[in-house]
Amino acid sequence: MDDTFSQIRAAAIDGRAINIFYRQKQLEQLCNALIKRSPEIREAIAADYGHSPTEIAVELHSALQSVKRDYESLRPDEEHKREYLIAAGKDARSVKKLAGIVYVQPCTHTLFYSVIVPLSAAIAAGNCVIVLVSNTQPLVTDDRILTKSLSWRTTCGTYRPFYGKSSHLRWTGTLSPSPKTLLKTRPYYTQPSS
Amino acid sequence: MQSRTVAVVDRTANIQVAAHELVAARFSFSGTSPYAPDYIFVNEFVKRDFLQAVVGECAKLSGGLATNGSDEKALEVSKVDNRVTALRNSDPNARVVLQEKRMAVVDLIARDRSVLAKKSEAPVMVVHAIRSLDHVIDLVGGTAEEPALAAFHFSNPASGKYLSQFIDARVSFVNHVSREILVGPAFPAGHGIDPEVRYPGDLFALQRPAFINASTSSVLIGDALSSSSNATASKLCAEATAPLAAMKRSPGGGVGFFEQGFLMNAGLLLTTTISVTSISIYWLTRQRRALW
Repeated sequence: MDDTFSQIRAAAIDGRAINIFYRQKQLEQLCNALIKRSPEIREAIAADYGHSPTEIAVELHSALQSVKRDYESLRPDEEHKREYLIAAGKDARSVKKLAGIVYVQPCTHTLFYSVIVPLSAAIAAGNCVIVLVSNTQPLVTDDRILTKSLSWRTTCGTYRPFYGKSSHLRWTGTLSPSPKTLLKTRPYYTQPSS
Repeated sequence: MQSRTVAVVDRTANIQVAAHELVAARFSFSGTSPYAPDYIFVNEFVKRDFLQAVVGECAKLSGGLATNGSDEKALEVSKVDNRVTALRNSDPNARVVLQEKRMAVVDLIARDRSVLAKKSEAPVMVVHAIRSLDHVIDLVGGTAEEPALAAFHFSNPASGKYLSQFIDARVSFVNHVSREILVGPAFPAGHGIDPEVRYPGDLFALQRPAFINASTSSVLIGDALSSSSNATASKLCAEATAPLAAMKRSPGGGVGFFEQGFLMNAGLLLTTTISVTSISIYWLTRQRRALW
């Protein structure tokens, strides 16, 4: 776990994910992996939640449309122009710096959606992402599917799954990207907020 | 602790639409969405019609609910039972309108307002009668300090405006329930809510603007500061102390209440007096001519 965390910190410090082509590639691979695994995902959701087929389809549709929309928001030409605004003598009012590392703690309601959507939004913004996926919930099938979809990349340390100490999942509706704390201190995931 | 989601059904609402939307909101995705309404405040005049419509919608829904493995079902059934039991314990007068394995509808009388503050994940629809719009505004405001997570108002547009203005909720929907928000977690607090985009890119990025061109006000101030002459200073002061271009408002008011009464009475009196006097003068003149 320590190794993975320091790899993620290294990736964040490098700014590996800032490159827009890198981000595009990550999202392409995420999207393709999810599309390829979508029958398994649907079965897993049905087994874990017992939603009707239309509800599962709605969740899958919303999540994947979100990923595709985040992908389409990445425009290398515009990004390049925005980066070189100052060099061209123009004001750069809307330049953004990414947060660095984003920590996602999903809620148990529609787990698949609440993992995938913030994950793809954070990647599209150029961050490294830590996703808390707990083993102790009665949703193991879902987790395995998720981690299988996410761990297709073994070269880059950003997507290696780790199984940390068990912590039962509490609901949070908000994300807590606090880059300074995560980069400076040991990024063990915090107590679930209540 | 998550804040609750409330719904209000007013007398002017379309009851079928309200029942359809609220049943979908409460029982979709096994009722675990944070945006499933925890308490539905229905005007007492339409409560019976609303509950009938809800029962009808639930009947349609349970035809479509999937069956699944026994583990999950048992968990759900116990959630529903626990919630219904908890409600009955806190409010002995509560009436269970409908209770099935995966859904329940409870009519709460709730003499004790604190019953209405709790948030629940179980697929149980809790209905509470209200007397008026002001009553529900007071009830919602008085039972929680933080804003509600979401509010669904069913009424005519004018009442919808009033409710959405005075019931403090992070997002309000009038006459419909946005289905997109039922999937996934609650929207991040403190950022604008667009139902179509759950996590906008701005959430994960920090603003770092950079300016290369001096703005016009910067140039002006720079000139003023570097010149250090009395003329510039006095010019700036003159511009600052130029009178405000105030907006012309109508004087308002109009004729006062007592003035209206006075004028009306005066008008009546004067009209009567003048007409009687003139007619009598005319008549007397004629009579006098006859007398002479």
